[in-house]
Amino acid sequence: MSNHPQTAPDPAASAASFAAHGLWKHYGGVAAVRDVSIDFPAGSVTAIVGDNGAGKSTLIKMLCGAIQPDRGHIVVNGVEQRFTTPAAARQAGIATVYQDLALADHRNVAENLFLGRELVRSFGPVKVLRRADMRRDAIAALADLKIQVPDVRREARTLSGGQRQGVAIARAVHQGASILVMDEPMAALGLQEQGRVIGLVERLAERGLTQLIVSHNLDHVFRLSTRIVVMRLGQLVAVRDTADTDRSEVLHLISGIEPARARSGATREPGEAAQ
Amino acid sequence: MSAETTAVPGGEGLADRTVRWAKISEFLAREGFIIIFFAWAVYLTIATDTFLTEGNVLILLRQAAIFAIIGIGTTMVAILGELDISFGAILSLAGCVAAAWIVGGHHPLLAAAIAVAIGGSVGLVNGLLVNHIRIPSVVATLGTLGVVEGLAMMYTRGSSIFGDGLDRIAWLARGDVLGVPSSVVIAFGMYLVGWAVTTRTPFGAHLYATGDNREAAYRAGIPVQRLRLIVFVLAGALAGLAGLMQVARIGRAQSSMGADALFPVLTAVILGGVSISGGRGRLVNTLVASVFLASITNGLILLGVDSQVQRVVQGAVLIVAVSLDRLRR
Repeated sequence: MSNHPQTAPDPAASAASFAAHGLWKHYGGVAAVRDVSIDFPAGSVTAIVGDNGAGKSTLIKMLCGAIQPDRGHIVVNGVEQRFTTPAAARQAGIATVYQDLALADHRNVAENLFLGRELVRSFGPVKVLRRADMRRDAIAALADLKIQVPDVRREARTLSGGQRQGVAIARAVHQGASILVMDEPMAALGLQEQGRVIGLVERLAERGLTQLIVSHNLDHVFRLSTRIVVMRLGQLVAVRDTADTDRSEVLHLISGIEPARARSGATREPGEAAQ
Repeated sequence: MSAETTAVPGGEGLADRTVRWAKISEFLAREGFIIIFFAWAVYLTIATDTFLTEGNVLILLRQAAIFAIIGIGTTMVAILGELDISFGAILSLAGCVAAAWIVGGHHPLLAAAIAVAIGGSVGLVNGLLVNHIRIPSVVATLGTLGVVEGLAMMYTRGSSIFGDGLDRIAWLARGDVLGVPSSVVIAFGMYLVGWAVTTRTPFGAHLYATGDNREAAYRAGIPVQRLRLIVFVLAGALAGLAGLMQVARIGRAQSSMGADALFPVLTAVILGGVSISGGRGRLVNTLVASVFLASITNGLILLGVDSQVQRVVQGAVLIVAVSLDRLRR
């Protein structure tokens, strides 16, 4: 899609609004996700939290095309979408970043960055890799996001967890994603590495990228997100601005035990949030 | 451990040595058999008068050529993280049918096309079984091995196929280009193409990436199912072509002629450093390993070693090769 990685992405062009309307997903007789409507304003960093089985991963799999909802649809920039594959979602600008599933360990950083979108030179039907160009562009793309890796010719397996995460995110951005879905982006990272990922998330938000983060770790959630979405038993139970809530309220919402509702001024009901 | 080493004066030297040893063992694991190959060649050169002569080297290369061609496909399948063991049966069936057509008076080119088509069809079946019925590739290709071998036996009814017509393809084995046997030229040419495809094209990049991390490749939009199908078809087609070349070499066809291929081809692929778990391995190493394996048989014959012992040595070499592969982890 983007053959000109040197040109910095235009924030206005990459800002994308994104919403889910009435998503349902059943597995057997059980509703894993029931009637979830939610919007993600352009440039927001939304954390999705909830207990195991709350429907978080089913929801994000529907958002990024890995599974199809039984009912409901997704709207990207005002256009109704039904994704049948992750590739279709990526076409619409939605990329999912999984820490473990993103990189080919024995391929180098540059090859991973261009995975599936290699730069080629065509000689009739024969396509030849432009390896030097890919290395050069990979260096530029990583530098653009201030992601530090020792050498783009190093195999991915030699990178630290944070570097891997950085390369995976850089690939998504480089390939034109405007909506990033991240599953546990800071799991198993050291403190310093977590700091780097937080910095990266902030830089991406400044560029207007819409980000969705699924995490079990409330420390991470509070450090990364601008909004928190709580799910329980397949339903969306609350949307809060991160600045207007705290751990104890979120924990109460996750567990379903009613908190002392002292902060009604900041709360929005899910129905409102979806409009 | 690192805390202890820094406490001891000169402890950093130990850390350096650890790094150096890691590099050496990495190199040994990746290319170690080449050193063994070299030592073996030097030993044979000293121990026999005949090993390092033009005549013997050409015999050696000719022995290696046909199995090396099969090795291209088998290596590509292995890079994908799969295993194809049906090539011996394909070689038999394709060789027998092609031989019968040539003896029946048809043009050798038509026979070659038939041999390749038979191989490709069996490869297609392999690929479909793995892709759609989701049978592990070893099991799927073991199944087709049995079926295809049986078909070859039914086709020949247990007898050899030979005739004057086969002279028309004899050049494949006995002909030469500037003194180099044509089968060797063909094998080298195909390795050159195979090297370019695996290392310089997006197809090759997708092949390695898919074998390395299938899920990541799929999510990156690489058509992993189609890729696997293509590679199995390619492996089958190459085995079919090898069948025709084997007929040219031995001057007749019989249903059992592919049975000997299994061991050397798989050993060459593994010896070449192709990880059975996929994503790694180089075609060039398969070529060198094929020549090495031929040199073991050839050398043992020159040394006058009993032919039964040869299998023992080959088996031992395979075990050493796999052990080297484990060292890498």
